[in-house]
Formats: sequence, structure tokens, C-alpha cells
Amino acid sequence: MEIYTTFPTDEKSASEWLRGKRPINRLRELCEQAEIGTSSKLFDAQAVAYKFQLLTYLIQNELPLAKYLWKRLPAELKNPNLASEQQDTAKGRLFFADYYAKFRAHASEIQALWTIGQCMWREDFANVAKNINGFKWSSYLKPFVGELEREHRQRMVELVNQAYTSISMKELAETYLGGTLDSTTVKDIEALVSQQDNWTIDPKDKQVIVIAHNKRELPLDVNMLNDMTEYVCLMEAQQSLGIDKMAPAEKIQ
Amino acid sequence: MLQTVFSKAQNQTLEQFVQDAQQATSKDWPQFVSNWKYGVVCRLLARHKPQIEMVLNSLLRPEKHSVAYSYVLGFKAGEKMEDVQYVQTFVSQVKRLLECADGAQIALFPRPLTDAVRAYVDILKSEGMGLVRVIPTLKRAIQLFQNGDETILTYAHSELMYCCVQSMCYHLAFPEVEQEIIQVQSHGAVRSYDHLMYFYYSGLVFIAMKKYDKALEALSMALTAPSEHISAIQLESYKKYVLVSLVWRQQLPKLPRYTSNTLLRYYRKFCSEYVELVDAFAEGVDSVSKVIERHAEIFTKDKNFGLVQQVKKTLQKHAVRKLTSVYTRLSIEKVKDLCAFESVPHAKKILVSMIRSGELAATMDSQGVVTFEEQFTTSDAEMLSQLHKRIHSLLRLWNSLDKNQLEVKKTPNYIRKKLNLGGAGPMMGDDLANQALLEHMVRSGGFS
Repeated sequence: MEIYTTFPTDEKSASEWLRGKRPINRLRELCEQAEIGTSSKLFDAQAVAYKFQLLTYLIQNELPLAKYLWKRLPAELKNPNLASEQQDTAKGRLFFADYYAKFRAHASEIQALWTIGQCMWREDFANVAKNINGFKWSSYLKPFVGELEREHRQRMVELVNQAYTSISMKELAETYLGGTLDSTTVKDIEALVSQQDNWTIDPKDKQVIVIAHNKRELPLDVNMLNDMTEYVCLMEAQQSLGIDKMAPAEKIQ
Repeated sequence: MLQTVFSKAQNQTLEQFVQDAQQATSKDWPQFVSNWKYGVVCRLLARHKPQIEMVLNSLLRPEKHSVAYSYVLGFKAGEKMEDVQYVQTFVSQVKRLLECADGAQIALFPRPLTDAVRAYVDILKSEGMGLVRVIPTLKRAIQLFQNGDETILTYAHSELMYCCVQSMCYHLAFPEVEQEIIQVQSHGAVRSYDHLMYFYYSGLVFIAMKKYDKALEALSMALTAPSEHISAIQLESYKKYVLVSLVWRQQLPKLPRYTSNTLLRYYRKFCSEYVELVDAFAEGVDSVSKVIERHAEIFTKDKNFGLVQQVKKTLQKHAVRKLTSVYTRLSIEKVKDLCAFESVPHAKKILVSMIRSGELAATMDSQGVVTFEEQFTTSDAEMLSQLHKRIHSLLRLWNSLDKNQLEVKKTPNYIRKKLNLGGAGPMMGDDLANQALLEHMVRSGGFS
């Protein structure tokens, strides 16, 4: 039970958590541990833990893990309307109403998280950003959702970097950043362009961003080069001596 | 001399067994294990059933006499599990042993503990408390069985993969699923069924995680396992193997030459729907759709329909990849027409998705012109680190193989065979000279 007391409980503790070392990994480990130890009956703290778990998977772009977490979630969390459906059965009407109402808020929030996950799964990037901003997140999740937004944006920048030599602002905004091209988005994009050292706005056509693909060569690791030289020397030596055949055991007879 | 401390074969009684265990120090255990055969101890225990609980509760300690304790539990595992009280004590005893056992002792002879864990896992499964709860136990068991050598396949591996797949907790299969297995635990601890199960289910784990190359590797281990008769696990592995190959490689590579012919015949016979799909794949989208429609029921029954759908999807990617061998530059409209995609945005989406996953080397510009590149240009530093990584993993593999080979070469049986000393039978008196030679060789570390 004490494992649940370590989770962030409000916006302040969540931001503090994010300032720590490897915050997302740490949170993920905590969630996975909580899941192994949980009983089959759902309770409030575990519902919160599930939300964190799904969110960390999304931040780390572990979509298969997110998908299977969603699949194994208890029914109370997957369907916010379960309560009203269950009320129609005559047996235990009141009990079900109470029981499911307790998790309804959690259920709709985790559903909203999974909607983001589905968009990521389908590579429907525009709607990822839209869905991130289209929900009123609980205070303790907010900083992590912010982290997801940053990560997602970073991934989009990398994707555009990889796939385009030039891209129109309209396409960038509508397909990848998830908005229509208006004056605020243009400013936003201009800021983005200035952050990337290989992105420039085309001087002839102000609507197009040119992406230079000059390779940034990283300096070679001297130790690795050293090791590699040794391997090559060893192999060459063996070849010239003709001792690369292994047959000592056969020769002894 | 050890022989005076331990009993001879003729006076093996339960008292003697317990006494030997209690007197053994850490370096005596190998002798203990070779003196007390598992089968003999089991027969002994069968005659002394009333005393067993006393032995476990007060005479042997799981952390100190781990291997002796496991013998008794291994025997208990073979008994009928009907009495609730009996089952409960058994469960708590196995649990206690797993928690505090000495890995070095267990590794000497892991069979009894394997038997005990088998029964233990069966009990937990039948209680219906959820397979997730079994997983930590299995991970602990793997640690104990391996005793530091991560190349050994144990019984607990196959059970772990099964539990992870069934409970959809694929993340918990790591890191065990990625261990490079080059040995199988001996003394009947791992049955051929366990071995097939392990590779089939780890294949499923990799498929779920979309690591298709690793999945193919694991599945092919299952479906090429030497056998005279087909196993249902191998058939299922073959089906998945076909589908994953199509999704990942767009073709079905030939199975390795060492695959037994019997198996190959059976695969073609019992997986005809899948073979049909492979043929249709070469012909194009229409044929594939037809085959899927015709055999939809079977694909669904085999729980492969999701993968079959992905095969259909991968055809689109296949079409794009074909273009790269003909064109270097194309407008996106042309790509759409040539590949028969429904719309330009759709074509763009497929291209971007392929570029993203590294399946295609190409770039686009704002005018919608696609440039296909020859190949991926990796920087020197990247290349160097990749090479480095591969050489290191190869060296690791080689070293552990080498170590095992040396172990084999040091066994008296091997040396005897090698020197033609007349089979593996006991030595005669006048063979003393040979024996001296043999001992010398064992001491000096084999032949190499």
C-alpha cells in the first residue's frame, strides 16, 4: 500500500517529480510495480496509477505497451458509461451506481489519454496535439501531459527533418502540429524555425520552410577506433599465418 | 576423505540423508548430489511419508540445505494434491525456498526444484488469482536456476513467457526474453515441450512489441526443432512465421536446411491456407483479398486475423518499395497513380510512415516531389558504433560457446571416445597407464 504514497498528488509535486533524475523512467517503474502487486478489485489509488502508467508509455512512445495496458485495464476504467448501463439491471442497482460513479472521473480521463494513444498509433499526428489540448486534465497529471506535448512536438520536428527537404507552413501546421494556419501559429512556427539550425524560411516564398540536410558528423570515439584496429590486425595476422582453422582436437590422434 | 563422511549406497536411509545434509559444508554439495540420486531419495521418502513434514520443518533449513530441501519438495510435488491443508503447506514451503535458496546449490542439480515449481505454478494458475501474480515468482526461479549464467534456458523461462502473453503484460517478459540462449538445462529439467513453448511464446512477445526480426528468429527456433513428428506448437509457429515474414520481409524465406523433411511436409499439408496467402501475395492486392475472404474463418479461429490484415496493409508498402528500383524522382501524384492509392494525402501518409520506420530512404519537398535515395547514409560514427556493438555481442556468444566446449572436452567420456579407449564403460585394471594419461589431460584442461 505504501507504494501509492510515492505518486505525485498535485501539480506542485508533479512538477517537482519532473525536475528529478530520469523522472519518466522512475514513474514507469513505480507504476509497473504497483500493477503487479494490485488485487483484482479496483481502488482509487490504483486507478490513478493506471493513468500515470498509460501516460508514461505515451511519453516514451511505447505504443504497443500502451495498447496492451488499455486492453488489460479493468472494465470500470475503460468505459465511463458503464455505470448507467449497469443501473438498468435490476439486481444491485444502487451498489453498481455508487461503485461505478466512483471511477467515472478516472474513466473519462483515461479514455481521453487513450484517444491520444490511438491517434499516435494511427499516425494521425494533427489530432494528437488537438486531443492533448482538448481535455481538462487533473492537476497532478497536467505537468506530465505538458511533457507529452513537448515530446510529441520534438518527435514531429525530427520526423519533418527526416522526411522533407522543404515543407509549406500550411502542411506543417495542419498535418504535424495540429492547428490551422493563423497568425499565432505562424509566430509559433517562426519560433520553431529559429530553434532549428538547419531550418530557414525561403526568402522568395515566405510560406515555405527549407530544411538543409547537411550531415552533422560526430567526432569518432578514439577508444572504439582503437578496439577496431586491434580486431582488424588480429584477423589479418591470422589470415596470413593460416591459423584461422580450428583443429587442435582432431590433430592429436 | 569424503567417502567416510558420506554414506555408501548400501545404507541409504532417511536419517543418513538428513545427517549428510546437515553435515555438508559449502564445498561438499557436489559430492552430496552425486551420492544421493534423486530417484533413490524419492523412493526413500515414499517409505517415510509421516516423517516428511518433520524433516522440512525442523531438520532442514531452506537457506542452508537448499538442495536437500528441494529434493523433498520435488518428491512432494509428485504426490496427489487433494487435501487443502497439504496444498497450502506445499505452497508456502516452495515460496520460502524460492525466497532464500542458495543458487549455487540449486544449480548443481535443478531438477527437484523444477518439479516443485512446476506443481507450484499449476496450483497458482488453478486458483485463478491472475497470472500476473505468478510472474515475480518465475523471475526469481530463473535467477536461481541460472545461478549467474544467462545463456541457460530453464523451465521457468517458458512458463514466464506463457504468463506474460496470457496476461498481456508483455513488458514483464523483458529482459529475460532477450537473453541469448545457448544451453538447455540438463537432467530432464527442461522438456521438449517447454523448449517449444518458450520459443513460440517469446515469438508472440516480440510480435506484440512489433520487433518482427526478433520474432522471426524465435519462431524459427520452434519450427526447426528436430523431430520426427509434428507438434501443434510447431504448426502454430509456422503460421505466425509465414505471416510475420510477409509483413516484415514481403516474402517467405526458405527454411534452413537442417529443418527435418517430415516437418516440411506437414507444414505444407496443415497450413495450406497460409501457403495460399504467400502465393497470392506475389500476385497483388486482389488475390490477397480473395484469399483472406475465402479463409477468413480459419484465420479468425487461429487468432491470426490481425496479422493477416497487416499482410494486406504491407502490400501498399511493397508497391512503394518497388518504385524505388525504377525511379529516383517522382511527383506524389504519380506515386498515387502507380501504386493505386486512393488519394494524395493517403499516399503521402504511407510515404512518411515508411520513412519514419526506416523502411524507405526518401525525402519530399513542398512541391510534392519525392526523391528516392540510393540507400541510407549513416555517418562514420554511427557505423563504427554499430560494428562495435555487433562484434561485442559476437564475442560474447563465442566466449560462452567456447567455455561450454571446453567443459565437454574435459569430461572423461569425451576423452575416452577421442582416444579410442573402448567406449564409455568402466576401466579395467590393466588400463592404469591410460587412466593416468586421462587424468593428466583432465587436469591440464582438455586438449586445447
